Order: sequence, then C-alpha cells, then structure tokens
Amino acid sequence: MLQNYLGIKHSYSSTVVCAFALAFHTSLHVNSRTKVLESLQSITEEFVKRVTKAQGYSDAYANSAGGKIFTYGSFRLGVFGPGSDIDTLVVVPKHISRDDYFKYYPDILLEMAPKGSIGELTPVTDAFVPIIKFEYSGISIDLIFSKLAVLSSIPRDLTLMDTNLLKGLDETELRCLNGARVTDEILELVPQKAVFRTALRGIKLWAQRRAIYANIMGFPGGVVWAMLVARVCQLYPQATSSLIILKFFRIIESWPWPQPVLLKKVESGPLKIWNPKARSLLI
Amino acid sequence: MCATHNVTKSTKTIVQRELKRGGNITDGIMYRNGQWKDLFVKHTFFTESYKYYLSIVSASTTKEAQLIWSGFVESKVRFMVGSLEEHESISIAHPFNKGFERSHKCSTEEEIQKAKGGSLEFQVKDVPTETTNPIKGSDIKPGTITKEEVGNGISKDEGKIKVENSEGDKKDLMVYTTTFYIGLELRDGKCSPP
Repeated sequence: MLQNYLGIKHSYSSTVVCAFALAFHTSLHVNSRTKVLESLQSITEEFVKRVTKAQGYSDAYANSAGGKIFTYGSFRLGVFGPGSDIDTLVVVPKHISRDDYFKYYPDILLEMAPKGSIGELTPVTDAFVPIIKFEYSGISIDLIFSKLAVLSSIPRDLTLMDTNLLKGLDETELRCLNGARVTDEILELVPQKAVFRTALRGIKLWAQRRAIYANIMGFPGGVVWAMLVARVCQLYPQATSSLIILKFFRIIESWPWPQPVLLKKVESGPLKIWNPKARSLLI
Repeated sequence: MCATHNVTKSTKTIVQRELKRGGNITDGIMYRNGQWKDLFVKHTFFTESYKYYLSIVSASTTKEAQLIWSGFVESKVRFMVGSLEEHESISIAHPFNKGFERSHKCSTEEEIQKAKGGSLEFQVKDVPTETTNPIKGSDIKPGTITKEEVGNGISKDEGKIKVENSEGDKKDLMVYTTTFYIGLELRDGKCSPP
C-alpha cells in the first residue's frame, strides 16, 4: 500500500513544486534579510554594552557581556515568503531587564540603523508576549526579549536547547524563549528537514488560501501547522513532501482530540508544560 | 505549553470541514482523478459561504494609534466569537482570519461618524494598505456584505476619536479603520441560508 503511494507521488512532485512557486522567496529577499539580522545583532550587543556600563560595571565587562539574537517562526523553519515577518528574539545576560529593553532598545535601534530605514516602530509592553514591532528596510520585524538568569554573559555560539537556561525566569520570559526553543526542536524532531519544509509550505499555502491560518483569530497559527506537519513526517519517515501532504488531511481530520499531538515524550523541567484547558497540541 | 489555546468550537468546526475537503481532494489526486490546484482554490468566505455577516470596526485618527488599537480589538475578536457561538440561534460564528485596513478622508463630525460606522463613502482608495491593496485584487467587494452594527463594540471607539476641526474648519481629517468580519451560520429553522 505504502509503496503504491510512493510510486504515485513521484509523478506529482513537479506539479506540487509549480503550485508552490509563488510561495517561495528569491535570493534577493534572503540577502536583505541577512543584512537586517546582522545589523540587529550589532544593535543588540551595543544595547547590552550601554546598559551594562550605565549600571556601573567596568568597561571590560561591558564589552564582553555579549547578547545574541535568535530567529524563530517561519524564518527559522525556512518556510517564509516574501511578505513574512521575521520573528526575532533578543537574549541578554542576567543583569539586563525587560524595562531596560523597552527603555533603551528603540532609541539605539533608531540611532544605529541607517537613517529612515526604521518605520512603524510600535513597542507593546503589556502584551502576553511583550514585543517591539517595526519595519527595517521594508522587512517587518517582531522583536521579543528575554534575559537568561543563569548567565552573566551571552556568547555568540549560545544555543537555547539546555533546559537549565530556563532557571530563575518569570512566566513572560519563559514564553518569549519558548517560541525559539519550539522552532528549533521541531526541526530536530523531523526525520527529513527538506521534506518537512516543502510539505509545510504546501500546507501553509492551502491554509492561507482557505483563510484558516491565524492564531489570534482562533485558527491554527504557524507553530500549530508546523507541528501537525512534523507529526505526519514522523509517521512517514521515508516519504516525500507530496506524500506527506496527501496523508496530512485524513490523519489530522480523524485525530482523536483532545488527545495531544506529541512530537516527543513530555519532559519534566522548569517549564509549565500542560495547560489545563489543553485541547490538543503539546510542545 | 499548549499551542491551540485560542481555538473555539466554531473555528475547530471550520478547520475540520477544510480538512475533510482537503482529504477528498487529495484522495482524488491519489486515484488520479483530481488535481493539486483544486486544493489551493481560494476560500468563499465573502462570496457564498454566509448570508449574514457581522462587522467590527475599529477606528482612530492617526495611523500610530490605529496600529495599537486595531491590534487590541483583533485580540478580542475570538472572545466575541466565543460568545456568539453560545447564542441559541447561531450554530457557527466564523471570524475571517484577517482584518481589513482602510483610510477615510472626512471633513465633518458627521462624516467621521459614518466612517466609524462602517461606511465606505469617504474611503481613500489610492492609499494601499496591507489588506486593501488594489494590485492584489483580493479586497472584498463592499456592496456584497450584509452589515450589522455591533452596538457595544463601536461605542468603545468613541473616546478614540478626536475632532480637531470642530470650529467649522474644513480641513480634512483622516480616519483609519480596521474592520473584522464574522460570518454567521444560523441553526436550522432560524432563517438560515439555503
């Protein structure tokens, strides 16, 4: 049976690629994004340096305190389109607070970015996930923030996978780190990244055309669609992208909600994992 | 952490229907009597899915204020959906997944009130916004929508509107609106669409 499908799917792969062509980015877009991200990395380091100095620490420490940006969401998953936001997380050492972030970061951003390249700068301090939104050279950036309470400096090669990094953080900081950790982990848990990406692009295109893509409106958002596709990829580890899409609908349609879609065994750790109102997807 | 916290009874039903539709099409593809392009056909939310719609208009006089205000209203729409679907005569309250941004040029208090109330009379058509870009051609056609005012929702806007030209000065005043649409499916026997 499976081989049957595998045989069939092959002849359709090219059609799928054509159908998604519009959803793919050009290298031009990638380059401008890379530049913007490099600039945000420098701005983040400058922000850490200035706040550290302002707190009376030595210049030597201020210069080595570091700071790093992480992308998450569709950009990190490699499934962003020309109009996608870049979801970015600023990670700083323990002595820098969220208040510092909202107080100093926007000004340093305006000062260090090329004149006129920043638009629609909107800090939202009281959101569930506090955020600074802006456009940088026409690219929408959603910039969130967390310190790491266990680190006094943030090296450039830091990764967020170690659960010990979550110690001593408040709920808001945990939520901010969660996005980046989830995206990285989804990628780790799929058997073939390239297959996953192409299949997810297909499902995203479908969900957008059918207007059922928007977490804020009560539809699945980017993370949810990604997890559902990732689960199907795990169930068919050898399949190509088109077969994943073909299998996706019946598997998800007949999912016995509220049984969760699990990509891995639930870990114990400082993160509060289970939501009592949980209907389905656990990360 | 649960990733589907925001899903409601209605949105779950809608997603299930779409999954079923997708499954029927992909079955067809597997048995070689269907095409991939059918899977990606655009939704019919505004064209044939509903007979009744509810529109929620958020309005401000500056773009900056509207960015924040419309974001706030947007984050509350799903709670309204949650209440609507509890109503005895409504079986499904289907929120459209995006709000529609519009700019209006008004010169009197009366015109401002109209724009806030959802009128498109004073809309500036040549200012493209994210969801009303004429090039994309994806905007909805104004005349096709049955509007029902959301009394309480709109009165909340009052404090947001500042009239700077109350002395009869004819200076243009911009009103920026973001409108959210909810399609209503009624229960059988409650004048539901055919």
